[in-house]
Amino acid sequence: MTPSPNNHSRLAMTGLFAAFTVALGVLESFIALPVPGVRIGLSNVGIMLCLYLIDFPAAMYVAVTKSILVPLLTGNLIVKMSIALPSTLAATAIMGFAVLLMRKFTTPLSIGALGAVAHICTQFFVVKNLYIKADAIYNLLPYFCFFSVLTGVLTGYITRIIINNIREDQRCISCFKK
Amino acid sequence: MKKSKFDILIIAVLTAASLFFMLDVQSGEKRLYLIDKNTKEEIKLEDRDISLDNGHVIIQVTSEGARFLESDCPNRICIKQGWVKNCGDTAVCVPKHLALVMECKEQDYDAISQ
Repeated sequence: MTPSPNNHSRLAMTGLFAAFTVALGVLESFIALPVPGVRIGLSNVGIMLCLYLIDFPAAMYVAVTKSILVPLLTGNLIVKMSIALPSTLAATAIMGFAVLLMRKFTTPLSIGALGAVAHICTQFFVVKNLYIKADAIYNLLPYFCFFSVLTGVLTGYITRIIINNIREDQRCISCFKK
Repeated sequence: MKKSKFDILIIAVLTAASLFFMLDVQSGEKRLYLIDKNTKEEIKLEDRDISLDNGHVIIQVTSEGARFLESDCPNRICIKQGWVKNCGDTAVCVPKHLALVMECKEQDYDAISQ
C-alpha cells in the first residue's frame, strides 16, 4: 500500500467501519425474520461503505475482521466461521470488482444485491463441500437467492442513504477525499 | 447518487434467474432421502420417528413426507423449514450435517409391456 498524507485518517476510518460492521453483525443475530434461515445481512452496509468511501483493501480488512469476530461473539464458532469467512470474502471481492468496473453506472442498490447473491452462493458451495456432501442442497439455493436479492437491495438502500448524508456533511469531507 | 437503469437491469436479472430456478418443478415418483454427511439413504414413507445423533435429532416420517421434529442445533432452522412433502423440498441442518430431500424422478419408460 502506498503511504499517503491521509494514511492516519484512512486507518482510523477503517477501524471505525470495522467496529460498525461487527456491531451490526452482532445486532443482526437478534433480529428474527419470519422466513427460516434468512438474515438481512446488515453488516454488509459497513463493508459497502468501506468500498465506496475508502478503498478495496480496507473493505477486505473489515470483511476479515467481521467474519472472525461475529461468529466469536454469537456462538457456534467453527461452523459459522468456516462458512462466513469464505462467503464474506467472496462477496467483498465481487462487490469490489463491481464497484471498480461499474461505479459510474450503478448505485449501492445493485452492488448490494450482487454481493448478497455472491455471499449466499459461496455459502452453499462451502456447505456442500464441507458439511452435507450432496447436490440436493442446491434445491434450496434459488429460494435463498431470491431473498438475498431483496435483502441486498435493502442493505444497498441503507448504504446509499448513509453515503449521501456523509457527502453532504461538511465535517466529513476532509475524511473522505473521494 | 441517482437511480440508474443499470441497477434495475442487474436486480432484474438476479431476480429472474432465481425465480426461473425456483419454478423449475420436478415431477414423477417421489423418493425421500436422508443425507448424513457423506451417506445418502432412502427412507420409506411410513409413520415412524427416526432418532439420530444419540437422540439429539428426531425426524418424524409419515406416509406423506418427513420433517425435523426436534434438534438441539442453535438456530433450529431445520425445524422451521417444516415438512418435506413435495418434489424438490429440502430441509437442511448444517451443524448436524443432516438433510432431508424429496427427489422425484420421471420413469424412463412411459409404459412397460410384458
